[in-house]
Amino acid sequence: MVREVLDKIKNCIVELNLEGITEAIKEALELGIPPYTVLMDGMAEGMKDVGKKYEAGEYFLAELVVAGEVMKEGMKVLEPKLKLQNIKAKGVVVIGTVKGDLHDIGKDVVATLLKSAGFEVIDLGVDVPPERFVEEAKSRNAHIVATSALLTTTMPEIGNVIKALEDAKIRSKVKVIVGGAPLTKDFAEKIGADAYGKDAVEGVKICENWMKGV
Amino acid sequence: MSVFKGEKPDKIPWMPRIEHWYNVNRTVGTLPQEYEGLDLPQVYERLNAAMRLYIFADWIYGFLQPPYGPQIMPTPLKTVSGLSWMGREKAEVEEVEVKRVKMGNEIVTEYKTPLGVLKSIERSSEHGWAWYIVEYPVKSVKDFKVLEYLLERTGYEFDTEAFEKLSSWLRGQGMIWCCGPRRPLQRLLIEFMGVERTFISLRRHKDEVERIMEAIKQDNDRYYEAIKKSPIKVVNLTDNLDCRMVSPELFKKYYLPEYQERCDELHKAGKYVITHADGYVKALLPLFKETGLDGVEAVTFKPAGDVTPEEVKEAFGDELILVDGIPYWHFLPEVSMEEFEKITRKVIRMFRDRLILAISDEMPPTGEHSKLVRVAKIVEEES
Repeated sequence: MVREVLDKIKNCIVELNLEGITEAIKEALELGIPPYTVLMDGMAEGMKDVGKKYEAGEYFLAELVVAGEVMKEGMKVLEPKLKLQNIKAKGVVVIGTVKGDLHDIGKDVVATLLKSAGFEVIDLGVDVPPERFVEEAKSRNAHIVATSALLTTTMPEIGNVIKALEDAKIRSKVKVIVGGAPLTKDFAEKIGADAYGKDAVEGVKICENWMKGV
Repeated sequence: MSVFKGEKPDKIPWMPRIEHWYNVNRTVGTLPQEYEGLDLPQVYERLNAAMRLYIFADWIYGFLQPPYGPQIMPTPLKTVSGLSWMGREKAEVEEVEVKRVKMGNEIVTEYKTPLGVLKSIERSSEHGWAWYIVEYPVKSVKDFKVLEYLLERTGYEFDTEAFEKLSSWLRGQGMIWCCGPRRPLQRLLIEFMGVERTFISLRRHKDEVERIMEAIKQDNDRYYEAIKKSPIKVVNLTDNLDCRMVSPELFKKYYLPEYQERCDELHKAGKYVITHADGYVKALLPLFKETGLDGVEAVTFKPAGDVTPEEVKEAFGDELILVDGIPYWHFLPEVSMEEFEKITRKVIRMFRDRLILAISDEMPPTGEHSKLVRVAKIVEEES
């Protein structure tokens, strides 16, 4: 019965069922399923499947956005219960596209998947100067700084972000993950990042693995 | 024009877009010395290339226009009332007040109507030669009535005198092509609401979104009507397509019908039609042939894009013209001249008679001038 209800919640996410999610979550809570279990074994599992569909080319940005909205709708019911249980976000991620670069589609996909994986995401948008990454990472006690660059001309800006984190003496407190079409693992290593995500799904997995150790 | 007519050209047309490279480098003082004091047509002449000069409503690509800079050249296509695509000081509509304020590197625009206010904020980048939206004007479906009010009162006019003045400035060193407004859903995604808001609204308020799309289409109809009456020969539907944003399902439902209708309409008016597809396009490649288009511009090969030349050739066949082709990436210093020559020759040999050779999407500001120069020689050798 518990698995059945959790699958119902998961399917609401996968099938982008905005109308059904609230009832499904209420049903789960009435059954006595702990809110955190509803979140992780219901909704988060659903978002993982959504991520897989995106990777497989079945789902696109529209589906990711709506899946995120279904999750948000579910969280309206769940969040007050989670607060009672004192459940925190998995981690805090500051994400943005670096200075001089206006590309945002890839970054938006990552942000959506991170939110649905239980992270608190501070999305700084595009054309973000290094000092802004630092400011937000400091003020929000971020665990992870995620930078995106889609131009070879802006790739060096990632190095500037890392240097700014060093100058602000918080480099050792955050993990830095980088992504974007022209980037490579080699580049990420040379520039001093902690990881390179070849795509959004891999990027989120890396962030999740990091937070397991926290 | 031979390529559009399906004829074999005397020489492969080389029509790169270098306005942004020219403007940024001129502004920061890094333009090659030999171009100091030269205008763009003169630079194209030196490069043995032709200019593809794009006009929009109230804007000529490569020129700053108010409110982004001083008016240097009158625009052939004008918004005469209502909502301007690039911004006008006045809406020329009773009961509508336009307020536009430049604050540092941002421009705040407000359209005040009897039904409400639309406010947008744009920010400049690239030394003032690029602008992007940081606050979209339509915040929710509640704003649709305001947008519809403005769109209904928007009109366009083609100024033949301004077109002739621009043609004189060009001095035969290229052609003037026209960019049309994007498909209605694309206008919501890119100009009016932004991606997240549009997709959520489409899911939650489908009827309202489809209704405003109809109002946007009618605005587009008026725009294209003005172009149809003009001497412009090539029209770009300017969609900035990216399959991550526009899935095949969305494309078939909301884009394909208008593509077919628009291409038919413009063909009957004696125009050739292309679209701009500068994002990821792999999932959309099988659908391009159904659109009625003559060509597709800006398709970018891997690694910046998601397709190979072979995949594009297979999808385009002999029906569609590739406009551009040399990936912008290859003009950057990180890529050797040898690699650059290899891809340039590959594009020419693969697409030859169905090719208007240029840069996918345009010359980046840090692109190497020596490679621009080299292309003309390669074209001579390969033609």
